Amino acid sequence: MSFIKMEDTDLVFKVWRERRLKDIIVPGSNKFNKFQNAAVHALDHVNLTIEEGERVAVIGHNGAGKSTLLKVIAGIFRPSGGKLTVEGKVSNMFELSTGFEAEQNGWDNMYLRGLMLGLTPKEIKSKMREIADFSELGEFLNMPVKYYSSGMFVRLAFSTSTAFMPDILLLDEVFAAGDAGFIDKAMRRMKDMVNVAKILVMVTHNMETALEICDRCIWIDRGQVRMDGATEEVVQAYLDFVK
Amino acid sequence: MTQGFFKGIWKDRYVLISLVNRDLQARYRRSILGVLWSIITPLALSVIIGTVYALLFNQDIKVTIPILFAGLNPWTFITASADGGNTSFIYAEGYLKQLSVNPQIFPLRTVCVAFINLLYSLMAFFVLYLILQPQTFGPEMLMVIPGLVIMFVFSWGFAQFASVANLYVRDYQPLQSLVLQAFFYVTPIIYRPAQLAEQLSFIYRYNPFYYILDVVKQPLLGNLVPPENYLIAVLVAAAVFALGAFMVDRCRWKINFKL
Repeated sequence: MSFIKMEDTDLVFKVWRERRLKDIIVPGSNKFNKFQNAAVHALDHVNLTIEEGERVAVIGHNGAGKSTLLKVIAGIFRPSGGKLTVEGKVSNMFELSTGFEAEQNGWDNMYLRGLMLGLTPKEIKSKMREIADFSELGEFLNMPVKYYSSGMFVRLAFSTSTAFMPDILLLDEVFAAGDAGFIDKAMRRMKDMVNVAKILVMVTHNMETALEICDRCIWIDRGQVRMDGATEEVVQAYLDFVK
Repeated sequence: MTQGFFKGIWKDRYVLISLVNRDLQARYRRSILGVLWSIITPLALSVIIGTVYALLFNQDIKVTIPILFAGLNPWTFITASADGGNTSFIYAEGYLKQLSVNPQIFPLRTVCVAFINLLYSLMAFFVLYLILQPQTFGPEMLMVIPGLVIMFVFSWGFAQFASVANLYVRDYQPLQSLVLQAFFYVTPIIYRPAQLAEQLSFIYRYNPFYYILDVVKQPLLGNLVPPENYLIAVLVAAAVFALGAFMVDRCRWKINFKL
């Protein structure tokens, strides 16, 4: 049984100010840098439970804490306060074109990414053909990924992250660069995944995507859950607010 | 702490192996001789320095070359680990910020790559030594194995220390290479301790690098190391490792925000 449970989860991080010799000798020379060891409250006492079978969209302004929320669930950041329980195998896909070995080809990157997502070499090797087929990258897989377009990164990363049916799939703005054909295919896969009782949490700025895929929507504002409910209601409220 | 630290490495062992493989391959990408360079470079370097010594100081080339080789290659390993440690998290930023991979594997990755290069160079050493002085070969040379283990633990600790220190203060990296350069001259690497005057012997007697190097260098030359030197080497390696691992473990969750 997979679930995500956040109880009073808090995340505060410090923004470190760059200090140079010049700043010490010449007072006030660094006047553009107002963030003097400031603390950012990225998640502010979030209470949330996501159960098996839910497809959740996370919406909100830039810098509201959406990606941070996903990274906390993924175990990349550790909450600085409160409790977080994540039960199930997590797979994720965040910012693109980082986390790849630029000089290596698509196959090698697929393999490495699979390992980092927690697969064994055997498991990933048995899935590689399938991932390649889904990505439709064909011959491009033999090319170093430094020559890839952002759409090709989406194909490679999405195909790998979803290939082994994780219990929990976290996606952050992944379709911004995909072409229509691939988005369609990817959406179908996400719907299929949840049909076998898995959790999907995705950050999106595209309300149509949210409406089409997700049955629940969370609106994050300044690190807090501003609204949580059926996708239609939350999206409507958000759009009204933005207007 | 220790349990989580080693468990994390075990969990990501496949990632580690894969990254080390990649680094080794990438190093000689598009080169014709490829990995042979790992053997040729130390070999040629020792021959160059050995010849210079033989010409300048009238020393027997058959004696100097093995000594230089046995000192220089382990030293290169230590500095490569320490230098690589500086950037091990910085270069791994893409992975650390995207995937929940255990950060402690990245300093280890650097050390493993440098260690494999050391092993290659030792192969070259044995070939060279077999030609120059076959009579010195004996079972004492097997003592190089515990020596290498001690040196590995030391360098791993050092790399971890550097990885965290450089994350906090980027001035650490140039400072470290300066200090290591200084140690290169005060540690008997390209000369023998016997060549130092008695009143200068303190510069290696109180030098941790001397003991760490000696447990590898002496067995390579077919000599035995006194037990008290082993004790010091083990203690130094354990202390450096404990400090490095402690620092990495303490900063486990801060690394992402520091990158």
